[in-house]
Amino acid sequence: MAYSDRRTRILTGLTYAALALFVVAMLMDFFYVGPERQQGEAHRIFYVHLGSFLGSFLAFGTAVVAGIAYLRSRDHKWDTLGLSAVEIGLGFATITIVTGMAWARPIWNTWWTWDPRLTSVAIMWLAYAAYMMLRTGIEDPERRRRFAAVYGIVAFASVLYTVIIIRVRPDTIHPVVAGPTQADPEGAFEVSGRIRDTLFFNLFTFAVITVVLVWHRIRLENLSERVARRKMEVLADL
Amino acid sequence: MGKYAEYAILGYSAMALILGGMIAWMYLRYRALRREAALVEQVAAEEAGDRVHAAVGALESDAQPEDATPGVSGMANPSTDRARTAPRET
Repeated sequence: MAYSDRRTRILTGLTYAALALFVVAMLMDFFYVGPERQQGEAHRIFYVHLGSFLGSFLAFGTAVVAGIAYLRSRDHKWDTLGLSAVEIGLGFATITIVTGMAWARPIWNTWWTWDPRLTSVAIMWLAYAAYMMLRTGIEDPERRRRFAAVYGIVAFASVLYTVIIIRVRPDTIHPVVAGPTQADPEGAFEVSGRIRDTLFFNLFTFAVITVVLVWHRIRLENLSERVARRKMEVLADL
Repeated sequence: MGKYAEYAILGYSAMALILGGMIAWMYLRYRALRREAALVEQVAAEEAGDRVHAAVGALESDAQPEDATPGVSGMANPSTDRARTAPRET
């Protein structure tokens, strides 16, 4: 598959833009916004924690769109998009969990607790890790793509559950940034002024990084398929 | 360093490690695939070269069989053919 120069230029531009945004976001996280009154420096984790969750949400959402598009068209480019999105989303979900643990230790006095939100995010991570493992276990390409498309759609339920749970369960201690909550969270703080600016900038940055990484991952997958195909051709000629 | 700064550093370091790991994995995989593609093309070129040599060799051996004897092998021998067909001088 040959890519048009225009697309390559856009990807290159986006890659540099993502890098620049990331640098600015890090500067904002550490220098633009000051320490929070009660949480001190630990609240800075919140920017990348939420940013990476947005990244995984976008990526897993893309896998749903790709899954539906594949089942409708059977065009394997959608499968490539789905795989790339899940892989990048899983990376961001890992960042969400690890940064959450680093924040929870000083604020909740524990690295991990089986709070409904934490449990649901662990289920979400496991659901997508299982996607990666099960995918490699199916040999027939057509069956594998069909399975991946359906699984990618169904697994998104775990993402929605993770988003909704802190808004409906009264027994969660996880703070809610936007929207109502029935719980009495521990470690919540007011999102206004510089904190809000920094948060929105980080969310935007992570969204751009997600797009760039998924795009690069798609190209990598296409290259991998091209090399595998060429290898088969050469082997058949021998 | 402010209050809980070590946890902020830990969180950001973990994020950098995972994000950097993802990017590094993609870059290393890309490099490995490029190398593999070059190797496959090299094998294909060598194979094509071998085929050309084999084809040329086969043509040569068809045209000039080592054990061929003019007049016996059935090959045309222009000099004797002409001698046979040329009118006799009287």
